[in-house]
Amino acid sequence: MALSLLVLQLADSAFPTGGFAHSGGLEAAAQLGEIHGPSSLERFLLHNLEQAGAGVLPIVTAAHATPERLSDLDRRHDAFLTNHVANRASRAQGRAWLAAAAHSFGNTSLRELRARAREDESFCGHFAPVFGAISARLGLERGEAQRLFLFLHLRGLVSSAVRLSLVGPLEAQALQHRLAGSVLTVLSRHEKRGEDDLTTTAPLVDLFQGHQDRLYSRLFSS
Amino acid sequence: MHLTPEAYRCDCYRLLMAPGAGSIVVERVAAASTVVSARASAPLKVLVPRPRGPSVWAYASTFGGGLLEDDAITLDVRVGPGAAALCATQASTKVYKSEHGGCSRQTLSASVGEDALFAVLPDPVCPFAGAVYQQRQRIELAPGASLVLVDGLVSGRAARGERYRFASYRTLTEVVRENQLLMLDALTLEDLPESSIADRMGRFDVYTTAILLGPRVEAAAAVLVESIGRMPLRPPDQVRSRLLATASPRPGGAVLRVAGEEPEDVAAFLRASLAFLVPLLGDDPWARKW
Repeated sequence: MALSLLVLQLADSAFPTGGFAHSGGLEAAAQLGEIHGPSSLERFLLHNLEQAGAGVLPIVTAAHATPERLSDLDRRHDAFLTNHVANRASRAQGRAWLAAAAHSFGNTSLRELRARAREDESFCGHFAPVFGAISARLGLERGEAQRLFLFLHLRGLVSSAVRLSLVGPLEAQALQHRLAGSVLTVLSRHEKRGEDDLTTTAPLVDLFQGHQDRLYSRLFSS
Repeated sequence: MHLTPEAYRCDCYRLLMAPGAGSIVVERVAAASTVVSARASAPLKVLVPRPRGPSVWAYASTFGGGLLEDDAITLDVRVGPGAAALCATQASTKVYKSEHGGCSRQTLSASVGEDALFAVLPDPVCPFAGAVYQQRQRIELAPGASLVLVDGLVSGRAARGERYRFASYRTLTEVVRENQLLMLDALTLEDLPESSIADRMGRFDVYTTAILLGPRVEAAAAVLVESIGRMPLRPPDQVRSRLLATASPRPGGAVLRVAGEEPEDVAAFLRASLAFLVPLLGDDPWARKW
């Protein structure tokens, strides 16, 4: 298998996209008393991954197929992301990705995308449509873009679990490896789904995350 | 199904209505909200205990108190400019087992006119073991229209130890204003190879969403965002709370999400949260319920 240097760069934690400011609801879930022991952590990650597949990936897929519809897909995802914490995190990551990609790759169509986003006042810059459009403009194939997206999601969750001291760094890598199979299962279930298929399959993940701003002390922004 | 006002006025229309179809038209007439027409064909029944007043009250129910396989309930509601309408149920909507893979469906299409208020306050849906349920709701708001829409489910017949044993529960709610999608809410609960519904719903037996939008409820929504935002994460003497609730601000309103271990807790929470509706509806729709 030829490794794409571009995909490696996008997946590298040095690529400055601010993803590590987010725990995907894990910090709130832990403080709510919902994470107690390794098996409940693994279940939370599994449900979180499934929710990303059902409620975020379809927009990535749609934006990858039709990057010119970025604004429409951005608005649709905004109507769906009613949880203010998830909505805020999605906007922050989307804008960071757009800035980092436009800056790093010197690609005219990315710079155009960014300029258009800046002009359009109603543009929210959600992560899923931005990620899909960028990956298409960079020439990633659909499957690559989808796998990279779910990998980044899982990697972010696992990394936040380490920083929340819910799991040690070595055990975290074993956990990530165990869940790699689930990434593929989630992917095969949702890979053909588009903007009309957005749905919530793990509502508690969203509900826990919605508590983030009420935590007395916190490490993460979401 | 989208019905034109002309269609409602046609006396023959009742004869053309499909089984399970119903419609309610509310207008503001001489300074009061008034039911202009209310129709339903079996198995749907529409009861209108308050046909005229500050707000009309309508209750949708079905013969036998539940939905059988292949039942399709379709309700069209039109709330005219300046009018107010409550749509509710008398008890939870039971969804019976699907014997042959068929689906039980409920569809609500509503249009809410300028300065009108539409309150949809049903009891939760209760899908029994093996049930297949599909619900679609589309609400079109005119500029200045307001909406309060509650949508929830319970895990099943908890007294029989039946929790999340239904086969499929799918809902889709769209709130639209001038062709712009304001809110898209969808829930799909089905067992997956890696996780059952019961796994994903954990210790909670009830999950409910409430959408509040529009000028007549915006201030109350802001108060809820503020007050729910100050609720402690859990009672001081307990490891976990029996009820979790969030309120997320949205332009012109808010979205509430509530999960509870006990249906009574969630019902009481919603009643307290939505108490601001009582003066708007002319009376307390929860008063005689429990």
